[in-house]
Amino acid sequence: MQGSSSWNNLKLRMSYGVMGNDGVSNFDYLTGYNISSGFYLFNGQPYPIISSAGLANRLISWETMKIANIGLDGTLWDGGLGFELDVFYRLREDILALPDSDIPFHFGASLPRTNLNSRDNRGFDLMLKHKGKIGNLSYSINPMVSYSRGKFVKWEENILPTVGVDEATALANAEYNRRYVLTGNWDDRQWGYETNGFFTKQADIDNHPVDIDGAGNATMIVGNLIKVDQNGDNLIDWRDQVVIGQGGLPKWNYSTNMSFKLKNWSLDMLWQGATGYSITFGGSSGPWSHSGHQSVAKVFAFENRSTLAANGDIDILRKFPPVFTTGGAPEIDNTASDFNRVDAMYVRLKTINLAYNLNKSFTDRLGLDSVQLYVAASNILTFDNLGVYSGFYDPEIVSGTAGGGVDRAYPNNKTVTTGIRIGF
Amino acid sequence: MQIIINYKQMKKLIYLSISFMFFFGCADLDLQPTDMIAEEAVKKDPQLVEAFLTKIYANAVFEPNEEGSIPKQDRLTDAVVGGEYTLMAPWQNGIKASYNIPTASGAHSRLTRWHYGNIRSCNEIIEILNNATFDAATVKIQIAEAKFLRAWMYLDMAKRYGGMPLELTAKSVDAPAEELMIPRNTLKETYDQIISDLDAAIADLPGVVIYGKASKWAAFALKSRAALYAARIAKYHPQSSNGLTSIPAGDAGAYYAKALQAAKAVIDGGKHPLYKGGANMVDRFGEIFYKDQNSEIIFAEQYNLSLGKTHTWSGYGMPDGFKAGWGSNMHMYLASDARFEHADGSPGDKHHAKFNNKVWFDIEEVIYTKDPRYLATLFTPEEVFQGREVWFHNTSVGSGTLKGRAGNVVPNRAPPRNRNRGGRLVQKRIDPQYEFPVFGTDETPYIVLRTGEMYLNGAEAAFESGNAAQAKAMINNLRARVGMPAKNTITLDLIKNERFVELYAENHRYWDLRTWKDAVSELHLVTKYGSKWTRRKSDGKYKASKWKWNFSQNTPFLEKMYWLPYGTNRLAQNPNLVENPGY
Repeated sequence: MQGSSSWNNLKLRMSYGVMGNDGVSNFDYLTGYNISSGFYLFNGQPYPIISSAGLANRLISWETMKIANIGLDGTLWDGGLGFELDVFYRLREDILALPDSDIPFHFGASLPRTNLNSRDNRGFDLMLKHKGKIGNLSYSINPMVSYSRGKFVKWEENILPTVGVDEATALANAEYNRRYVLTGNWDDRQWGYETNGFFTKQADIDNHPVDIDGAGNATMIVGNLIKVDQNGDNLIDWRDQVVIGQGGLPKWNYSTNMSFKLKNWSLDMLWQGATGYSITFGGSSGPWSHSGHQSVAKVFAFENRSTLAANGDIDILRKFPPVFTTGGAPEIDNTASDFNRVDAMYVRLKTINLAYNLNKSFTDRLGLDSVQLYVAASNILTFDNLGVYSGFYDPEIVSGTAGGGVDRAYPNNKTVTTGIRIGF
Repeated sequence: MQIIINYKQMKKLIYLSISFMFFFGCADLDLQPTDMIAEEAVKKDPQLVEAFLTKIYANAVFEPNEEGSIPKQDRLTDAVVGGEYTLMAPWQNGIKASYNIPTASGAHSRLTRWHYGNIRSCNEIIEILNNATFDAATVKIQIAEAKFLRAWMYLDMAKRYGGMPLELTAKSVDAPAEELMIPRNTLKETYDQIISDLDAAIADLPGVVIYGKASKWAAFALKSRAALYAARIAKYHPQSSNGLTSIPAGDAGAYYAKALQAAKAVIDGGKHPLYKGGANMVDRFGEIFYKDQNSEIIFAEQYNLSLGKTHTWSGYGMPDGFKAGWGSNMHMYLASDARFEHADGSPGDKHHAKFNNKVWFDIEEVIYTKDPRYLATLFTPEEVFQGREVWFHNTSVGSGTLKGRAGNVVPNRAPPRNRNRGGRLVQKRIDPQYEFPVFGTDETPYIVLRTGEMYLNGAEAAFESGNAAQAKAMINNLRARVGMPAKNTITLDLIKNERFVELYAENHRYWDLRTWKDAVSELHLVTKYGSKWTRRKSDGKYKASKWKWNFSQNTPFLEKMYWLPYGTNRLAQNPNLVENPGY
């Protein structure tokens, strides 16, 4: 790097690979009958079961995965600044799928799986390293950020024709394709209804122009969600569904590692966070729940509503309609909607460690190598945008769950530790 | 392999499959799976065909089972959507299905059922058997079994969706599109196919079979039900232009005649007489549902705890005080109570006017004089069960130490789950030998077809055919079994009511209401009540108030719901399919 004395190192990395993925089932190329572990009872006795293995695909093959990477690493100013950038593109092809689009459901067989589908993933990781010194203070800061998002490149599915058919059919088919076709679309779209609050009095239901329940709103009660009629046909059905959120796994992850040293003192911190994902605050939930069979965290949020409302938090009252109570939190219509879904982000002080090292002269007198007093803590500070649920849900745990299932998640512990570390 | 060697019956199968593997396996690195049987082998061995048939039985969903280890109350759904009783909490699947209005995307998952995988297996078996090399007598019976099962599955779909695309051969995947993309057959064609399969089964199935397998009598009984449904649809449903959701009205008579003839064949056949156990009429009726293999059971799905095939009926049903899990889950509505007469034939609701929270009454008179079927079907206040009282009273008033009906000290309040708004709980099918049953340990059979239904099918078909005398005789025979007085006159309403009483909680009501076209008037947003009981300590008398359910009021039944939707995604697979009206 002539003429550029600040550069210590600059490296360009490129790679491309094709791999086979054999994580597929073993005998799809054979026909015949499988012996089942199940049975059925005749006269109290178990009778064995065999079932057709389905039609065979003699041409079945591996999945392939193509991976392209470009990386750029650099160091400047004698390590004062370093970076690593990786940009990647992964394409999975020949994913096995049932070729359902040629065969109607009433055909009745499990068709031979064929190498049909492909999906991809793109993204980057960027890591920066900075270290420096100001007077007696030496420090290092290492931020990183990563991004990843996938698409269905080609998917085995019914894509209905929009040309060569009459206009009404074309429109209907286009509507079906908008809602259901995956090919060419991002893989983290969540579909559901846009809502405009909930009914607060019967008169609003009686006067509501849009048929929400398909029964002229005869079954609607105060507290039911007001779903938005997207296509203006005064009827709520699947055609009114829109993308209401993202997947449960964050597309963006970021963190910063910081370390400071001043004389005998040292301070280390790890901040981390994520965004680009959605959390659904469940309607009904599974068996791990509190009264009324709502998720525990949701019930806590609900039971805190009066306190919060008394403090002027009107928002909380907009989150809990007064219906379907069985003594607990209200059950919100559990069709997917934006009502209890948040496009989430959070930043959390994951760990912090403050330490003081006793002077060497002092430890020598005690016959010890080193003595360090420290206070360490984890998860003690979190900033998020969960609104009324903030503090009741752990956005980090939730972000690790595909689909954002939050009902059974146990939050991360907050810990504070203090101690003396002695080296002999 | 290891999984199945526990079963003696399977040994032969294993030897067979091993020997065929030797025949067909290659010695090279080209591995053959050890748990597969080659296609050709099945054609030569009746036991392998039987094992394939057994798969169809196992997947036919005679009784909807739980999914995995988490109870989902699927076996209760039909009764809840049919307005027979309700469940403890609004999150349960039956309740959710009951307030769901099907849309173009499809019906509630607990109501939909598609059997085409199993139907293809039936078709494959029939093809295999047509080319089979083993003895002709076995071939004939196995074909008949496959046809019985195919009829069961088409009926299970036709009663939901109307006319079905009829798949009667196992088509090749290479078949031309016009052969694969068939339109729906009319509902008449669908019912005629069901009946023709059952006629073939009647002709070729023996009358005596291994318990649990399809017999001639099971085929007669299912034919009686199918023909009765077809007749009701023809008579009571309006004509549709495409015939997918209607049957020509002129055909009603012929279907009623078939329903009557098939029901009579079972009744007169003598193989499955009405069960008549001991002299106690309540026990006599109750035992039908937990005494496995009693004479009345024509066809049933069995359960066996030691083999790990069980269900959770008593886990749901046991009242608080007798339960181990939740229990107290199936609460009868007051309107259902009204349909059960008193034992002297007087109206079932004659005491309901007293349920005003003012009048004190004697439960011996108000409850314990009812139809023995009522007392066998339900847990009621102070019923003596397992030697102790089942308590339902929400509160006690006054003072006194009068003991309960079994002589025990009376608690101030019933245990909490029995105070949860119903006031009566479904008891039918709970084996009284189960004490504090753990979830998923029940072995009582699920009765698919029993002789009681045949009397009701026959009576209705006879009545609709203008033969009131025959109808009355059949109803009175059924009533006499439990000591209920004979009816002097007979009406369709009375037959319907008798059907409700006899078959309560047996997954009939919802489908009866649909085929009679009574569902809108009987179900749509009907206000529902249970009873809240108060006991007076001084004399043990009770008063009761009507207690409105807060989450069972919005059970809609719209006109379009007589036929469930195929759903957008299914229609997208075959451009020749037409959706049912209203979706």
